[in-house]
Parts: sequence; C-alpha cells; structure tokens
Amino acid sequence: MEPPVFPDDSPAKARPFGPGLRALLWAIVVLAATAAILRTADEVPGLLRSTARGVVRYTTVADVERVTGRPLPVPAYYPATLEWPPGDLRVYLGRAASYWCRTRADGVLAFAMATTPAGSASMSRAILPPSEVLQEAEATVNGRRVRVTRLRDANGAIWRQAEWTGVGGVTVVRYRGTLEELMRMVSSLRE
Amino acid sequence: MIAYAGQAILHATIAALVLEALLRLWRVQDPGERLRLRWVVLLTPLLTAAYVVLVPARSTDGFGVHWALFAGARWNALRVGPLGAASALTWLLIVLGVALYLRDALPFLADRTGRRTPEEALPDAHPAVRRVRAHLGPAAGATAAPSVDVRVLDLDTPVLLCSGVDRPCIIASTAALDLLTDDELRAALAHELEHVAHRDPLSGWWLMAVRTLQCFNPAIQIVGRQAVVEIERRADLGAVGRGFGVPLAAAIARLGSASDTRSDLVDDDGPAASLPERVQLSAHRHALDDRCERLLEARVPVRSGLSPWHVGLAGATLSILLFFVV
Repeated sequence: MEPPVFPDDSPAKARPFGPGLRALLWAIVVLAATAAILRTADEVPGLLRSTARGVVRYTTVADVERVTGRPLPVPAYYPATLEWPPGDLRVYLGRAASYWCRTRADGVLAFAMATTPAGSASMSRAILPPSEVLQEAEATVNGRRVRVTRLRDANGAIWRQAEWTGVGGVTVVRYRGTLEELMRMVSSLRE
Repeated sequence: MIAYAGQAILHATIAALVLEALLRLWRVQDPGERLRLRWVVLLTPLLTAAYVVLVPARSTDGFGVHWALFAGARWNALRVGPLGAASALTWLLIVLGVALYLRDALPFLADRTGRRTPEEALPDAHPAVRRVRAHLGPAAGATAAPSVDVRVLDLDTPVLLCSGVDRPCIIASTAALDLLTDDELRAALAHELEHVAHRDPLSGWWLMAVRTLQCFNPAIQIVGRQAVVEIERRADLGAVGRGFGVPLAAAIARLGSASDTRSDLVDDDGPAASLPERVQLSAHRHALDDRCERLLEARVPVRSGLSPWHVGLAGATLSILLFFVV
C-alpha cells in the first residue's frame, strides 16, 4: 500500500511564480518584516528613556568624565537659582556630552551645557533639549567668536544660547534667562 | 566576552525565528530537508564570530547609531539592579543555555562512561544474531541482507541503536529482541538502517560538538534538539515508506514501556521522583504518543524540492540581516 501524501503539498496547484522566484519573494518578505520588527524594538529603550539613538544618560558628572575622557566645563559664574549637581547628564556616541540643570525653586529646566571633543566641527542636537531657532547673531566674548541664538523650547519658553568652536571643540551654553546672565556665564568659562 | 555571548545568543535566536518562518512559507515538511535548513541556524555562531573578528567597525558606536537595525547594548540604558537590561538578560539566557546543554550532555556522557556493555558480541551462529540478519533484508526492502555490521549483545537491558562514526553498525541486545515480535523487529531495523544510510551517528557527534561550543546559547540548544527530532523523523519516515509504520509504532510503544531501555527509538525516561522529573516524564510520554500517532497515520510528506539554492538563500538572508544586528 502506498502511503498517502499531505494534500497541501500537491505540486499540481497552479501558482503565479516559479518555485525559485516564490522562495526568493518569501525570503525578501521575511527579511523585510524581521528588519522592521528589529528596528521597532531598537527604538524602545530610547522611547522609555526619552533619548535619541546613540544617546546614553548618566547620573553623575564623574561617570560622564570617565566615558568621554575629559572634564565637563563648569562656568565660574553659576546662578545660585540653579541646582547643582545636574540631574540629567547625556553622552552621544561616547564623545559629545551635556548636562541639564533645573531651577532650585520650581524644578523647571533652565540651563544646558554641551561640549564635543577637540577637532569636532559641530554639536549633535541629540543631547540638547528640543528647540526652535527664532533669531541668530554673531558676537565676540573674551576674544571668542560666539554665535548667539534666541530659541523657543517645546513648552514655548524662550531660551538664549551661545555656541562657539575653540581648541577644545564645540561648546554650547543654553540658558532660560536673560542674555546678560548668559554672557556672564560664557565669559567665566575657561577652555 | 559577555558582549560576544550576547550577540551570539541574539543572532541564533533571530536566525531560528527567521528559519521557522521560512520553513512554513516554503512548506518544507520533509525532515531531511528541514534538517539541512536547521544546520544553517546551527552554523550562525561562526557567522557571528566572523563578523566580530573581520568587521570590527560593527562594534563602534557610530555603526550602532547610523547603520544597525538593532543594537543590544542600547538596552543597557534600562537598568535591572546593578546591571543593564541587555547584560542582565544575557546572563539569564546563559544560565538557561547551560541548563539546557547539561540536561542532554550529562545523560549522554553518563551513558558513554557508565555503560555495562560486554566487550564481545554474540557469535554469528547464535540464534539471536541469525534472527536479526534474517530480518535485515526485508527491513531494507530487499531480498538480500544489506552489508551492515550487526552486533548483538547478551544483555538484560533492552538496547537497539545505530552507533559508529566511521562505520555505522546496528547494536541490539537479547532483551530488546525478546521484547519485539518479528514484524516489530523488521520495522525497528528499517528505522536503524535509515540511520546507517544517512550516517546519523556522525551527525549526532557534530550536533553535540556545536552544542558544546555554544553551551551558553539556549537558541542553539533548542535548535540542536529540533535537529535530533528531524533525524529521528527522517528515519521513521524511511521505515513508513517501506510500509512499516504500524509495526514501528508498536515497537516504539513496547520499547518505551520497558524500563532502562537504551535506544534511539525512544528516550529513556528513568524513574521520576521530583515534580520537574514527573513533568519531563509526562512530556516525553506525550511526545512518544504523538510520534506513534504520526506513524499510524503513515503519511509521508512530499519533498518540497529544497535545493542547495534554497539553503544558500536562507544563509544569505540571515547573513545580511545579522550583519546589522549588534
């Protein structure tokens, strides 16, 4: 007695493509679907931690300095209204680093400072609070050519930012306060 | 090292899932064909090692951010106690992998080191040997007996298996022969002849070698077990194809019900004392029942025409995908 065969396997079924092409199409479908699932899964830690790809958050200044291999600059003039140490420290690709500070009184985000290693030409926006540029101007502070920008954050609050490139890389100081105070902080920074 | 282990586990898991999808979409039901595709997954750790050694740029943060589809290290941003989530999961999976490996490797080693097998097989003129030889021809579907070495051992333990890497031979014990009727013996020999024809003992050693090298990798341990099931299923179907489905099911049931049986036809469950052992025993019995039911249905899947091109396509698909998983 001949053993029966699985009915689904009947080769007599008419199919639009040859078996080789069909196998290739299924492989492409599986490849694309798996890639999409992996890419989605890859976004989960960033969504849970509110960070962009490549950004890692740390809890202490020492951790950031260990990862980047350089000290985080702190302005000699630092408003007493701001918290210290910073509550939010971020590193992008192990190179660019930033710290964000809130006000002591009401915990509102009010200060961010970011640096890149020497030789970098630009600052990654992934480690700074999201914002929209409203106005830009050039200025000279302590002999540095500084680009001063007025920004609006996601909550509609107005910030001032100073950005310059020096021998130590790119530095960005962003402050939710007066331009005068921002300039005092920039002037007090040593590279 | 932990980073390589994590990546090897991740790669093997993705490869196993992708392959399961391809097996279903390509409608591959023949166990021989399925076995060839499972080997693609079992060789994934080689691909992982090659990527780590030959393409060090994959390990950089820049690749992880700009090119990778999935970067496991990114999950370390989430903390589980003192460890990152990716590291914690890797350690957990390593423990699982080692447990799965030891579950099979310890009985395997105990079987080989603790065998009470007599050195000398019974002589050719012994009635038990003559009985086996008389059934070999019909078992192979031929009038003349195939040229296969047969060793019959004078043992109280039922033994019926195929052994030998260079020259596979069939080993049977007098206890097993006493248990089986002529029909059942022919069916069991047909199953063992399939193992001989495919040199399955050698495949078994290769599988154990891969599992040992990847003893920390649970995905490889699971796929390794699936490969063993395919090997047994292929031997079953060889016997079914010669019309031995029903007697083979009877032989499996009979050997499975005997205590201390050593045969590739059945798993030796041994006495179950603890709850996990009883659960395992129940699962074995369930698997045995399923296998017997499939044999009684006597259905032989048509080969899907899986060619080396298909195996290469599966390998290429995985190679492309896994390159972008770090």
